[in-house]
Amino acid sequence: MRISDIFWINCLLAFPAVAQEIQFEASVDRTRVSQSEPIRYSLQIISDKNMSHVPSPVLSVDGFHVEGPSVSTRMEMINYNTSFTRELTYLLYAKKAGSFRIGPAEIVLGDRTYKTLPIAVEVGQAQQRQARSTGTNQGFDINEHLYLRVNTDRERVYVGQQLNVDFDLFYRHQLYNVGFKEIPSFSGFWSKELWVAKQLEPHRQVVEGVSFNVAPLRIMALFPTRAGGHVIDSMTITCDIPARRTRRGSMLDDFFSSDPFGRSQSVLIRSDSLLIDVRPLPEQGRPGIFSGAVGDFDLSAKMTPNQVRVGDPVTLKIEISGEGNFSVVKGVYLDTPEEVKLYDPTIDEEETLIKGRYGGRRTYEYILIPQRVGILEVPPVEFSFFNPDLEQYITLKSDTMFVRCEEGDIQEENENVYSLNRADIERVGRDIRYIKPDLNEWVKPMVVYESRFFWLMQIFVPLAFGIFIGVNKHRQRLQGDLAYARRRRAYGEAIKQLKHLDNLLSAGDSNIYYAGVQHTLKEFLGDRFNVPSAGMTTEDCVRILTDAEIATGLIEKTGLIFSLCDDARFAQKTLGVKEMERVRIQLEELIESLEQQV
Amino acid sequence: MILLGLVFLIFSSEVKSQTAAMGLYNEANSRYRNGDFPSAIAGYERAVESGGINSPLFYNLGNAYFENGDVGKAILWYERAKKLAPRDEDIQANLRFAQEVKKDREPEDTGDIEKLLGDFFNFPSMNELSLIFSICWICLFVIAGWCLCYHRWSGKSAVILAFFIFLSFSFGGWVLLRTYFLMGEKPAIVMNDVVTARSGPGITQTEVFIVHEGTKVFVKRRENEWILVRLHNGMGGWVLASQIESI
Repeated sequence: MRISDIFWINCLLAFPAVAQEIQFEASVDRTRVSQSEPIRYSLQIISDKNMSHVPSPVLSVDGFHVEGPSVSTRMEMINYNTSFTRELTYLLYAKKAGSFRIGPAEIVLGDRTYKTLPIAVEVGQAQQRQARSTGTNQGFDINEHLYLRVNTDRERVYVGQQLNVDFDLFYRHQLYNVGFKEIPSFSGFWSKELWVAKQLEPHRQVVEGVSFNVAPLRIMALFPTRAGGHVIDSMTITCDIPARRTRRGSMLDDFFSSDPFGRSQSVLIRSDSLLIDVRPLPEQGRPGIFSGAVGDFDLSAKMTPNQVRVGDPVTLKIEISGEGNFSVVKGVYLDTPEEVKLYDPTIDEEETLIKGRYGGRRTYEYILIPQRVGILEVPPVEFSFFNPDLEQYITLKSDTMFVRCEEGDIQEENENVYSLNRADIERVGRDIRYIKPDLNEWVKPMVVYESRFFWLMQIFVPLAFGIFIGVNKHRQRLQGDLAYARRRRAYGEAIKQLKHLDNLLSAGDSNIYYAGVQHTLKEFLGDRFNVPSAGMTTEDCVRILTDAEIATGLIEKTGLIFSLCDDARFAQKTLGVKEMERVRIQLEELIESLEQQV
Repeated sequence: MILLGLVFLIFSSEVKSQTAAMGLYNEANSRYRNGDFPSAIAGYERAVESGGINSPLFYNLGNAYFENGDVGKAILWYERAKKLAPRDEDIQANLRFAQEVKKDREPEDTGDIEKLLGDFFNFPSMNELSLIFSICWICLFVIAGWCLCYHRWSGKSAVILAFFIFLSFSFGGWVLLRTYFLMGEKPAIVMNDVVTARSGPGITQTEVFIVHEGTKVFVKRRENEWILVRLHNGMGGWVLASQIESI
């Protein structure tokens, strides 16, 4: 008979009056377990009617971590009697080994309170990796396959010195639903979380000849706050592991063999606790200004400006940077002269984490108001800390700083005067702004938009562009179109030739003169109509002009000039100077008429 | 040579008048510092009469008038200074201050987007706007000429040309729009303590509204010594020309 069956009977006996309508019963899957294993604690509410709303029962499970419940309902019909069962299943993890009593669970249904019977369970010691040779559960040792290990980089530290603690999960097979159950409190330490795993990121590692997946879970930076032995408590996680029901009925036996139905079993894993020996800071050699800083620090101090009027503020900026716990750094030692008024500093802090070491930077910004004329000397700023690696106290000193103070009006001794950056500015009056200063150079403003010249220039720009385009086009045509080029230059060339004829006329050689006249006319006609002028006869000229539909009078005139020239040159007809001048005038008129008509 | 001589003469007389204006300005500044505001006003006015056109001069004259209790004149000169230097913070601040002192309330501010657009529209001075337009306009034709001359027509040159066409027409449009508003508005400032606007150009016409010193009005037309002005809210009335002064 199973244990749960026994409790069913017990419960039925305990509540005979209720059994007819509602039964409320508790059961566990086993009464003897290892500390790393959960107990399945089930509560059943059986009724002959379907209950639409069932409140959560009140459990009495001190000494256990509780997970759940998972809820299931079912309906049964036996001999025409229907019953409705609602089952709530919890997983209980014992916080420590020993004998426990699971107290009665209570539930209020209607106007009645129902209670279950208490159940006694025995929890055995959890089997750790370090002691893995002993104790298995029903012949199986989980810790051969799965355990949580805690490591530290230092087991012996000074008060205030950083030590890092890592929690690593070692496992050999697939895990599911890994979650933190219990985090150590780290009492006696100032703690800072450096890293927490969001998912398992394992690497392979062989431990005593066995290959494991090792997944870091959490890294903490700890700074001991007092001397003595401090225990870092164990950390607890839960996870699901594959399970298979064996012939003996144990869910855990041979659990890493693959389960044909993909079922899993929840387990609790706990790390060892860790003892840290914390040594006090040495009394010997401790400077008077030491305020508890432990680590390795740098100090810098700077005062600006280095020349002010009396009563004007000077800023002293002191920066401490380095490795260590800045929360215990109380401040720097600043011994200011009496003739300086010193205000509380504004503090700016920045944390850094470099290669797992915690550190940062803290800046103190003091406002100093010199009260007298002369050279103000600010003694070195001092800062003392204990270096645990060197095991000695170190005192850092800045240089002595100087400010030249010149004459000026000392402001009234009023706290508000130099606390402008710490309070809202209050307006006490309003007026117009003051006049502009005297000028050494008088610049007359250029009012371009009212200038006609300016706007004419804007119009001229596209006009110039148009002219440029025309000229460019003409130039290109002259280069590429020979007929056009000849036609364009015909008249100009003819005028030049006419001037040359005037010279010939004065020379008086009629033969050469008439040859020149013929040449001028032929060249003009050749250029104008784009025909070769060499070898051109009178008939050719007449034909060209006729083809060009030139007026008959002009054609006749052309023929007449040609025949006159021929007569003078070849018929040895004597023609006087007057005749030559008349021919010259006729030629000029003819050329102009042809130029206009063509 | 004669032309050069004339240019030199004009230039030297211009330099002389500007130097005189600067001397008067600096002298008036020292009177202002001594608290002798009427004398400072006289000095600044003489600098203006001698051809001094300068935003610091107009601004300081506005200040002198303000200190002397002439809010209307002060606003007038601040407005004139603002025309020359629209982004000068001192001018803007003092103009705001003077407008708070005058009796008539300024029109309600328009919405945020309208104000933003208005500020953007008026951000560059007319000079700056005209010069930017001119540069874009000249660049456009120079680039087009260059492309034409050297046959450098390509996608890149087309994009550059399109860009300058866009800039030229945008700034050109901006200049035209600003000029249109400037010519259309013709703003003026009321100089008298109390000015009664009438329904027509005559003392016998019905009184339509009363404005006070320092209020900005917009001149619409003139008939003899009477001027039709319009207020920000659209109300119009006739006032005597001597009662207002154009900005």
